Amino acid sequence: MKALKNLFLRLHKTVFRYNRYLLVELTRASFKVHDYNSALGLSWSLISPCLIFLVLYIIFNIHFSQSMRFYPLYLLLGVIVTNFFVTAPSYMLRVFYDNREIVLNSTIPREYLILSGMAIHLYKFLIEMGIIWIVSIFCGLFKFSSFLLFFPLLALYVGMVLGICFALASFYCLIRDVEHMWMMFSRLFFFVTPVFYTLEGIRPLARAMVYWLNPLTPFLVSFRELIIGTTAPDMLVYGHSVLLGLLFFFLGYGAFIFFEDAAMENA
Amino acid sequence: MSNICLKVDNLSKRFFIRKERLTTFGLLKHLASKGYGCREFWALRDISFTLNRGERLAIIGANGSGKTTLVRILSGIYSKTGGQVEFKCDPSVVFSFWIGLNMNLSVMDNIYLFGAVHGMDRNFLKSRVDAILEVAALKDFCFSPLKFLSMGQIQWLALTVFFEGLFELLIFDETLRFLDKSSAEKSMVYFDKIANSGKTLIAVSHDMEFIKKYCTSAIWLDNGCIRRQGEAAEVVAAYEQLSNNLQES
Repeated sequence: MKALKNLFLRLHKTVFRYNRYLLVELTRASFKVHDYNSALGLSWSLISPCLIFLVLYIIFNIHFSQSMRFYPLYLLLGVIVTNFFVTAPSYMLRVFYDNREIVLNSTIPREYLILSGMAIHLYKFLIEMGIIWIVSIFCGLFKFSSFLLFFPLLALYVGMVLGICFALASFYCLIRDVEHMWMMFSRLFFFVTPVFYTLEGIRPLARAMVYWLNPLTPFLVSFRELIIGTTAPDMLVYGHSVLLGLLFFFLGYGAFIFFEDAAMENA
Repeated sequence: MSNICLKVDNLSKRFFIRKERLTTFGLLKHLASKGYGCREFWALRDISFTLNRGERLAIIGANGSGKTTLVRILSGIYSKTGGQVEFKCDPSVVFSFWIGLNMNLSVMDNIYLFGAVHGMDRNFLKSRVDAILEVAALKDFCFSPLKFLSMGQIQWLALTVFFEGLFELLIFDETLRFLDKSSAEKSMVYFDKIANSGKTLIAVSHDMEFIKKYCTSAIWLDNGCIRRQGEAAEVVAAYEQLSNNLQES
């Protein structure tokens, strides 16, 4: 109970008490520095998912395009959602370690290091999702009710990824194996998430495992139902995603607070 | 209104130091034995003092005596293991002058970034940017990346921005060590201002002349405990005497 109270007090402090213009300046700096001396800059982040999409499309289009009308859009959405889930934590897990001087010698809220670093990935993700929405409008798939349901889902999805970033960045200070583990799992996520295949197309046991053991799947299913679905979204899956988003955010942020002292001393 | 700015009561800080190199087998063994392969190290033990408004406190001591740990706890960077720390005003902290600066960003961007780290927003700084560049003698470099400046120039820029802030309680740790003679003299003007304005200061320094000139009281830390506390001149004299004795022997 006390731990929960501490978590909410800290969250309240992060959102309302710390100076927010510092977060703005840190975010601004992270944007400016991210693509420093890079000729293609932000485009690199679009090139990677486009390449994955192209490869998967060339290989799997022949199998799925017959049974699925908007398979390219289905595949692109899968790649974008999974790519954000995999990429943001890979970058963020070293954030406290790489900023050891800041962590140990300044009063900059540690949450701000994660939030400002995350902003660039979120920005790219939002651009990619925006492109998906534009394409879906052109395909005549736009539904206003789905559009409204999309934003809370997006916020919770970002919350889930943020929770994972908080936890991984703290654990990495304590034990460096976290990076190897995340690298290993992140490769698997493209296969254990229905990115290029459908849930209906796999065996029931595999379907149950992919849906219940992988937090990314309910989100991806919901995103697809909202953006490219032709029927009303399944509210059970939507609710499942909402619960997962909240759970992962609070568990991840809670782990960060619980391990903060030990992690920062070992950063 | 109480005159007390900070009250520290029986403050202690314990670290766990690894006894051996961390290996998978070692980790499993220590987890099983619940010993975790660490030993206790008390960086601070039962530190108590009170800081009044307008007081300028120096923390002195040999390397490893716990000075930095103490100011890190006071700044909220480390959590305490035991005791109480009660603040009556918000502290502003400057430990290493480059903290908050980004070497790949321009001088101008760094003014806003470093200002934000010390609680100054963009609007507040906008009106002061020209003056800051003038004082820092960096008018011709305002769009150059910081990495092209010398360490002294970077430190002086940081201090110039920092001096713009309006602080009630300032905590700093060996902040002036890289300054050239001219910049150090200029920064003394700022400390003269602090001394005359009645602001509260906690300074960690090995510069005894600085302490004697600007601090009213001092704490001498030795192996994490207070060895002596009192008026700055008196504590510094005792510390210097011991240092001299050690050098002679």
